[in-house]
Amino acid sequence: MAAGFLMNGATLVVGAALWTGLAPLQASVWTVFLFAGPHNWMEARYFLARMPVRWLQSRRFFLTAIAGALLLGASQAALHWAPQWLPVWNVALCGWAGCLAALRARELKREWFPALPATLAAAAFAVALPAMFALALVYLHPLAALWFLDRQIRLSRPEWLRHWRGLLALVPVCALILGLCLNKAHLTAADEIGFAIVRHAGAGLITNLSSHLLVSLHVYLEILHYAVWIFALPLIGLGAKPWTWNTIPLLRHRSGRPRLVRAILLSGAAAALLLWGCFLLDYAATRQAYFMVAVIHVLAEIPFLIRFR
Amino acid sequence: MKNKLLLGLCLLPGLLPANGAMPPMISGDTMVIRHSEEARLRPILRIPAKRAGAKAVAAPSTNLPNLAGGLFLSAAIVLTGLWAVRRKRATVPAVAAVAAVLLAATLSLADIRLPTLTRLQPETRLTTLLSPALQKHAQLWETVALEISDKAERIELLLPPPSAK
Repeated sequence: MAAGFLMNGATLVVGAALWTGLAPLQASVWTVFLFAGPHNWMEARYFLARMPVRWLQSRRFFLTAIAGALLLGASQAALHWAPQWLPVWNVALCGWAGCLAALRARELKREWFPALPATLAAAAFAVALPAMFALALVYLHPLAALWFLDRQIRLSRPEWLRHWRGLLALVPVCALILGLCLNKAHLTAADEIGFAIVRHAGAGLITNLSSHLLVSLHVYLEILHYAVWIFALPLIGLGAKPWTWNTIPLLRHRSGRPRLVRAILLSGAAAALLLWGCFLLDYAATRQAYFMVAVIHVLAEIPFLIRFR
Repeated sequence: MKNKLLLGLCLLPGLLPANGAMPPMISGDTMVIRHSEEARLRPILRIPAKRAGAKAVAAPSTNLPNLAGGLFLSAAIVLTGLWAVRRKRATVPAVAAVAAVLLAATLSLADIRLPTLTRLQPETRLTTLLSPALQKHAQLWETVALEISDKAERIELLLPPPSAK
């Protein structure tokens, strides 16, 4: 089993690097089309499975997490029309994450004070270089999936950990090879979609690296991120098939919220199907709309990252 | 140097009027590219307000984000120091490591203009914009100051003067 995991993982890590190196724009178009919706659903499924039934002393943490994610998600979409507020939004994000870290430390009766200077240092970066901070989120967010998988393997399959860490070491090697091979090549975006992909990868901000390298690197990390959420984490972390919901504690426990859980999962599945349909009708517009609201799933990861350190 | 190019001008959505008639998204127009002392720090893309379909607004102060960033970073340094002192177990290497990281972050924030100035050397990147061969085969990316002006009569891309090397 571990050998199969290793072989499949290595094939994916190397194959994705090759694909994104050779055809980054096409890779971006296809991966977002195929996996954007399902990976969001899988994330929701995973987080619902990991959510405790009774919050008890974590009540304040979860309420802050949910309220912050909703507020920041809604206001991020509004940034499309008022981009001058980006530094303020960035600082609010840092403050929210710092608050969650402090609350979690207090829950565990650990020192919460270090969260304060760390939050302020992040806020300094966020306000002085707001566009770079947003770009850092774009590149760091896919890596969060690797962190989740690492935690999950340590929890459920500790005997795989050595293989997994070896596999993980392949990722920077592939990224370095991409960097060496592609840093002289520039991409020509022939249409609106290509232009959006190049801009999303930060080619307008980082002018020292080639646009081909930036897009390849970004799509490469995105593919790994999708693979972790859609294949690896359900295989290891759910303890059941993703469509078998009666193992979710919030659903089967009498103090749980079965209706809410079912509603979230069903509406999530409907949204994923709708996303596919919209992609088929108008890929460019749907992609733009998707990335305007996709930040909500990035925000949802932050409390769980803090909680499952 | 004065070059005229026909520009298919795609106006940014933010420049469009919130109500009323929307100007056409793409229209043929003439853009003048020239060197200017005004662009010593960074190239300026100047668009007449009437062409952008918007009213000119005063440029926001660029010092405020740096000031806020400096304040946050200073507070982070002070609080880290307080924490290290309060936590009597703090070792000299640990404090030194934290101080080094924060100092590096401060320097990187203070130094943000240096790479920009290097990038904007007129003969390294922007003058190549004028190469027809390059226009066919590649795209270039550059940071420009976008200026909507009530006074300007034409669209201009102002490049740093050749002496700004």
